[in-house]
Amino acid sequence: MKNNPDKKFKNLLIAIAMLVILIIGGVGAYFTATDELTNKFTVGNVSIEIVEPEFLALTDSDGDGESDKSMAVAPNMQVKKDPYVENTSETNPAFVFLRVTVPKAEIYTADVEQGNLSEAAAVTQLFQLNDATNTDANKGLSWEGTDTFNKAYWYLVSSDSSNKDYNVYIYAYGTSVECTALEAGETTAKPLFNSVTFCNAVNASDFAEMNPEIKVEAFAIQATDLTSTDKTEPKAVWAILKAQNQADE
Amino acid sequence: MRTRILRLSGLCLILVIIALSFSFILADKIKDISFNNQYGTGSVSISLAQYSLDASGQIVEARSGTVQPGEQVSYIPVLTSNRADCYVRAKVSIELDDNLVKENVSYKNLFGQSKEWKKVGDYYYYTKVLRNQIPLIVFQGLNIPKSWGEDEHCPGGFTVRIKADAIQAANFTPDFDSSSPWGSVVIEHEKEYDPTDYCETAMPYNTPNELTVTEGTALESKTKDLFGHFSYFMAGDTFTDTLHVNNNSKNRIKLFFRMKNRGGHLSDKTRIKVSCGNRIYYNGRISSMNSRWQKLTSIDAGQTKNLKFTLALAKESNQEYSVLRDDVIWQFRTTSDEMPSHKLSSVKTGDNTRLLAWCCLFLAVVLFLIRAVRIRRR
Repeated sequence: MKNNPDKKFKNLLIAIAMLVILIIGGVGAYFTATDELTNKFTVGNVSIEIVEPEFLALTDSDGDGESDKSMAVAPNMQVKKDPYVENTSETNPAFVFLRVTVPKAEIYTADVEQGNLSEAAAVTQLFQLNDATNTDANKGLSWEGTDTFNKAYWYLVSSDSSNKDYNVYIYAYGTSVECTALEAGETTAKPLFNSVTFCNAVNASDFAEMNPEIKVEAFAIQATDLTSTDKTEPKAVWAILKAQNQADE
Repeated sequence: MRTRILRLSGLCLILVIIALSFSFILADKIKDISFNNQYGTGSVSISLAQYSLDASGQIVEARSGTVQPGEQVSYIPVLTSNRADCYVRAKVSIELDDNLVKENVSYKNLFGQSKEWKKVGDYYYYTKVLRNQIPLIVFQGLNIPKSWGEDEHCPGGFTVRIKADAIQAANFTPDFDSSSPWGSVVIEHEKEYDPTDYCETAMPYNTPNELTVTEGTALESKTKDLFGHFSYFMAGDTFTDTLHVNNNSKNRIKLFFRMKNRGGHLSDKTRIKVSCGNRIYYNGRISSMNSRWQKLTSIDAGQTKNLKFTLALAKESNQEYSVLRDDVIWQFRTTSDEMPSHKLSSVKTGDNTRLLAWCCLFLAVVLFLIRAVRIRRR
């Protein structure tokens, strides 16, 4: 058995280092304390889907997912569009909201009853939203009915017309007093609206290339914690949801 | 033979009477004063609590709740020092119920932590001293990964675990630039104690310590207490105070001192040093001087000497020595400068010498009377 001098030296160094550590560790003795806590969080994964059964049932001859009618809008043309919200979560009930973005433009419109054109071009929302009772395609060209349709089920939380190209509407599923919790697997009792009517634009053909779209987005927040803290008023719930989404962004 | 016994008994009686008389004279020249004091050790104690902000921005006690993917969750652990000022560190670990998720959560998901926290290794070190009863926010919340909402393995839940350690700020200097700011110190749980028998409030220093030697009377002090602010020590603490001794008598005197410990545990770990200027009169453990008189100095008539007393608890005192309290007696004695110091051992305050002498005297008298009666009968 040979003694390697390098190994001996290394061992000596290690021994000295350990001794130094022991000495240093031994010298420092202080008064100390420790405490610990835990908190358990459950992840509430809420998922939702927008379903439009009547809209999807419309003829789609080219199979692109858009109905033939929606592809070729004409003045005063009414198209079925019925956004429901389905809570596809496995367990969690949710408060749901729909954000509807409707395009607008500066146009001349025809007054059917008076039989004349508007005197000047005016900024006009291109679509009117209708509930099941409103089948009159010529009800009006100006935007008047935002809170008239299915209002027993949906509540207008806010509207914003500040953008020059579109108006934005936020609807809560519920009443002005409280949101209605949508149980897991459940779908809203009514769609937000049943159909949309294109405005009576004089030069409707101008919009063919624009391909104006109504954008409908759904949002949800787990209802359980909010219910337990009595935070169910639509505007308050939307504020929480909005804050979360902003933080997320 | 009988006459010899009788003479011997008589001689004993005379010797005892002389000894007693001498002790009375000696005692008259010795002046004592005692002070009963307590000193103890402090401790480090911390507590963790958890809060959150509710929807209206009010602070409420945190509870287990449901969070959403992408949500910014308010969760505020708060550390408080309940006793001595200390340095603190916190280790935050997050355990997922389902480890199959693609995006894990870590310290990167925490928000709202002040700049005074520094992450080194697994710990967040608070780089300032945590003062007693000043709450310290560890962080203010968690960012829940948005991807959990889209991940097929969204965890059902997770547990946040926070472990906080504290070490005394006194006599301890962390190195926050090193890879181990607290070195190799072993962190132990605080020691159990009876709070009704323990108060860490230090007495303020407001009265000078003064002894006065007057003619023909005992040593006098203006206060009943001495070194009252030598209260609670942390490991490595040193307290110093001055005792002014005025010799208002007409004679030069010698000053003696002893410190008696009443069976406490701290005397082995506590050193006492008595000095005057550059001259050190005594420097050693309290346990070493127990009950033995130490001559400190001589003081001329009309002079004053300022004696510096220093008490130091050993730096290597570990947790075992925290939250302890010792009762001590500070005793001072003056004698005439002509009296040899070793004479002090013949008479001590509180000893049994005088009682023994009385017993001898009584025994000698009884023996003498018995012998005298017997001789007379014969």
